[in-house]
Amino acid sequence: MATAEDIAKLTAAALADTAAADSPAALEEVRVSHTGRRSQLAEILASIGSLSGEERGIIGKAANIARRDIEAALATRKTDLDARELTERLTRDRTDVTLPGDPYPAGAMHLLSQVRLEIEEIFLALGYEIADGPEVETEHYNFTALNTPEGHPARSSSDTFYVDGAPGVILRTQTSSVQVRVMEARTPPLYVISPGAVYRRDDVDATHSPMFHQLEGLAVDEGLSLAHLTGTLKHVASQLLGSTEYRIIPDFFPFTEPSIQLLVRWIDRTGKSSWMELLGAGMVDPNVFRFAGYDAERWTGFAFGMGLDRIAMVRHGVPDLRMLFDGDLRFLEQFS
Amino acid sequence: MKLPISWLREYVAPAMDDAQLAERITDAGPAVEAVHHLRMPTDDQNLERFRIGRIVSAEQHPNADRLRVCQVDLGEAELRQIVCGAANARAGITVAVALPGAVLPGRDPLGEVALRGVESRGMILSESELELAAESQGILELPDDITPGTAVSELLPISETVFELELTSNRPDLMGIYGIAREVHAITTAPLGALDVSEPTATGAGNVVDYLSVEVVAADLCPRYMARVLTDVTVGPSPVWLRSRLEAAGMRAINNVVDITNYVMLLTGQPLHAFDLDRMAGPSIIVRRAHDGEPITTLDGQLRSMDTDVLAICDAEHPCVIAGIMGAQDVEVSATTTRIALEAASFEGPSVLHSALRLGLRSESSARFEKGLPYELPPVALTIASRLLVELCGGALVPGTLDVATPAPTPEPISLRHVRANAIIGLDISPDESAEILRRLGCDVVEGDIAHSVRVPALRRRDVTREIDLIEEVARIHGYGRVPAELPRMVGHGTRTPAQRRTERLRSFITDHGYSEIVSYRFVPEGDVDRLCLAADDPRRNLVRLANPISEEMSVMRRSMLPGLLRAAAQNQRHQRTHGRLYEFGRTYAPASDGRAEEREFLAALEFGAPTDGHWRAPLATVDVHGAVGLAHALCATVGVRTTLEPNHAPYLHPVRQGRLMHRDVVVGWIGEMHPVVMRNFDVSGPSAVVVLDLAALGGAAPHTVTQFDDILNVPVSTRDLSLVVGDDIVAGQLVATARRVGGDLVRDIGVFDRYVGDKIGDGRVSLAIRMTIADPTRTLTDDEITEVVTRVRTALADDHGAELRA
Repeated sequence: MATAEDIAKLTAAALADTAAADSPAALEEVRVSHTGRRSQLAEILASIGSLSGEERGIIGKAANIARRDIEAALATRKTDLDARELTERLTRDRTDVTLPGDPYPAGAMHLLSQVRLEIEEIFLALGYEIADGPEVETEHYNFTALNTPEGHPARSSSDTFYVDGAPGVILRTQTSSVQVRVMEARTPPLYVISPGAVYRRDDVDATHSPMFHQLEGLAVDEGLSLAHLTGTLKHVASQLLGSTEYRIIPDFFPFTEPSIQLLVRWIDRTGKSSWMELLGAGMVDPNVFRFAGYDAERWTGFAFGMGLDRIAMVRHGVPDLRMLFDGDLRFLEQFS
Repeated sequence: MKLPISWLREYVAPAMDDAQLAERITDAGPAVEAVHHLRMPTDDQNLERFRIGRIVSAEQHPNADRLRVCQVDLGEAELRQIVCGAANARAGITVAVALPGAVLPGRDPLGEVALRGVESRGMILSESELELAAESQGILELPDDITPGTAVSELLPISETVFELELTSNRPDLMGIYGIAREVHAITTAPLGALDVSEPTATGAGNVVDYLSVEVVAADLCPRYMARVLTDVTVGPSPVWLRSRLEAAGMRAINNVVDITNYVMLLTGQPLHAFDLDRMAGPSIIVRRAHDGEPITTLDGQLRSMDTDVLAICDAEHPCVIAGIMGAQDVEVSATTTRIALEAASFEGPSVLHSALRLGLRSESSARFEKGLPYELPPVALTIASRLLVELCGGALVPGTLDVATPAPTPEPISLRHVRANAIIGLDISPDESAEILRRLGCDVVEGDIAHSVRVPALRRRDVTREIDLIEEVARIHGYGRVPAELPRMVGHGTRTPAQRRTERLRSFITDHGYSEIVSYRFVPEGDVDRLCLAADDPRRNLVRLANPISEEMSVMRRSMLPGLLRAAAQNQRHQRTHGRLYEFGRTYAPASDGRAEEREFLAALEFGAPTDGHWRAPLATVDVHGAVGLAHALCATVGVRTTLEPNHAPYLHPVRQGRLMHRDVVVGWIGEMHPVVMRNFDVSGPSAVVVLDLAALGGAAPHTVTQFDDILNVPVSTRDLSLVVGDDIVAGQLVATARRVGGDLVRDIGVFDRYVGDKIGDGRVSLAIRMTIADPTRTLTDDEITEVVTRVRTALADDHGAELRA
């Protein structure tokens, strides 16, 4: 006949064995021997029915508490041992995480594309749209309609590429030709930029190329003034180069009047500070509006143009223009 | 344009230093590109140590044959002993002396020294030591009327600052010092001194008509021709002040007559020409067009051939000058010249430019004439030059001036509306101020409440013709820095077009998949068509050709994207980069019927060479057509276009490893491996894979509708595989196309997932495993329905392609 003391002893032994078990298998043995069908506790629990009312209450309660405590201890111990075993198993899965990861090959967008996209974003955010035009262009769109009359030195065959066997057909020397096409096709207000390749008959050297890239802008609206041009250019300079110090000086272009040039304070990687010629601009010449059939008294506007190649070179410290056109991966991949 | 500041300050002297002046000029006028310092350094009052001296005695040095010991009066309490090695060092001459402590360019400060045992307390200077001339003989001898002790800098420009001005083509008025002085006056408001246009006394015998006649035959090219005659001219070197000024302005001193014509040109902007009257064939000047092939040997010794577009100034027999450009050698002023004819003329700018380009001969003179000089300028230049020739060459000016002119009408005054000016500038500039600015620029202004009435000076007449030109003048002189910065209130769209978005999407995608972008020249060698193995009658041999290419290598516009990529590949392989992935966006150009070009936008990608950069747990990828196929389909898919492949036969691609990328019946691109011969032609080695996408065609194929939800989330989706064996003349695409066609809408997806060739199925046979995904978004399909679809597909594949189920 088990007493409460027996149950207490039995519980203590079971808890001690549980604590001592140091593997899931040992713990399973402990569980079977202390709570299994043939365990002492099981016998006690099975005998409760045959006890008197008073004893049944005391012994039954004690035995059930003992069973609950032992099972709880077993479960806790099992969780601990499982966790320990998992940790041991994972530790054996050690690898060298500093090895190169699975390859995700990344190429490089050309520096010119990067600079162009960046400038496009600045103007898109201002509400400009992007227009495009032919590169094999007529003298009319490239020169005449831009107030550059016949006989002008820029039109000479030493400056401009002419297409063989096609009188009046040239490779465009400026993206301004797109301005003319846009004005011809549309009515104001207009806010348009046109990036693209242009061609001039320069020999290839570190700072010259017969093909280079421009981004031209045109705004035509009521009430546009030099102040709006100044504000626009200042905004672009600060967005693009982080430069807040700028300077506007006179310049000359046949298709703008007044014509200006924007200089921005530029500090190169050696710390040298200088005024960098960022772009040429001006108020659209009334003659250009006349060619487009716009009323020059009602509409005013401004235009600006910048050399993408030169901006890329200055901003990124590229010493030789030819590098942009060589397709050398040692160059291209530096800007990925 | 080189601007010696001492010369400028003779006419306008703003109260600011040279650096400030350079800034002010740049801000409102021509850009000052560079500031050069010539001759003696100015720091630390260095110029104070250069003094005029008079040699009182010059004795032979006791210990050196070639040295003299001079006692020099420098206006000091006692004479100064200076040892001098010049042969012309002698008593009585007036000289320039550097005192101890003086710094000459690139040298240490002068010390008090003993030369061969004799003390020397200074240095008597030569012209070259003062850098007034490139070379000189002996010490500089100066006029005797100068007081000893005077600072040399008061007499000679021994220190000079030169501004390098970048002139724009619209401002020929700034090609003269006086024009720049006017500009500086306008910018700074410092008073402008007058040009000295006083006439010298004409002391020559007779009248100019006794010596010379002028006939202008080609009046269309020569609106004005003026000439004077001087006799008794002594040709020799110019005085040092004149030579040093020319040198500072970037011109070489030649002789006094030529130097004076150049000096007056630099001052006024009007070129002049002097002939040796006695070397001309007869006393007449004829201004006419040259004959075709008419020869002239110009001053530079070159024999040149003119044509009828070239204007020539001729004597009775020969051309003496290519008008406005350069004179002939045989009438050049020389040491023996005593009688000269002096020309000042107006020539048509475009004609001078055309001739200069045609003859490949530009000069200081042509650079001025070609921009168009006004009719009013020749008399001014002629007067100043005559005076200098009398003063400096001892010439006797013959009374009278020949002047053959076709006067141009004086332009009407221009109206400048105040409201309009301020609307363009975006700033209120008062009518008083704008009038003041225009007057400083030399304009006559009649002020008005609404508008000014403005006449511009002759030198600006070509450049300033309209109200907007006056507005520019007012704006720039007032100061662009004073214009406020405002952003317009915008009403634009601010979006890319769908085509632009697709292009940038493709660019991002291909970049993110390991390809690097190149930009190559769009003009290419004509030989590319051969390198691409195009057949003799291939229409792609029809090219847009340049009439004036830089070189054969850049003579035609490209009709294919491939040569640019292949050349870049070769360039990379030349420096051991054997494998790479490149792409380019750009256009090709085909001749159009109107003489222009049909320009088409492409994306082209090339993988070249076998990969070498291994990965520790991935095998090296194989570069071949399958990579191109995968890339092409993925690129198309990224802009929403589903594509299939059809056979293609481009001569520059591998004959059986290429394909045409189709969306329905539209060709959107090509894929393949390069033909090995083409690879060799471009010096590229190893395997290759190319993708070319026609962006316009791709754009046409791109979906324009919004994708609608397809509810396959709530129905079972079944997959069924068919393992088939076909003859090896059957390609996977055919099976897929047939299966797609007969499978109907229930076959939602279909693809080949395995391929086997080998012993198990026998020669000439290939096993292809096809997986079909079958579902109906509206309901659950029964097994019978699914089996029916599979059977239909299997039967069609058997009937059309002889496909058998693999055992």
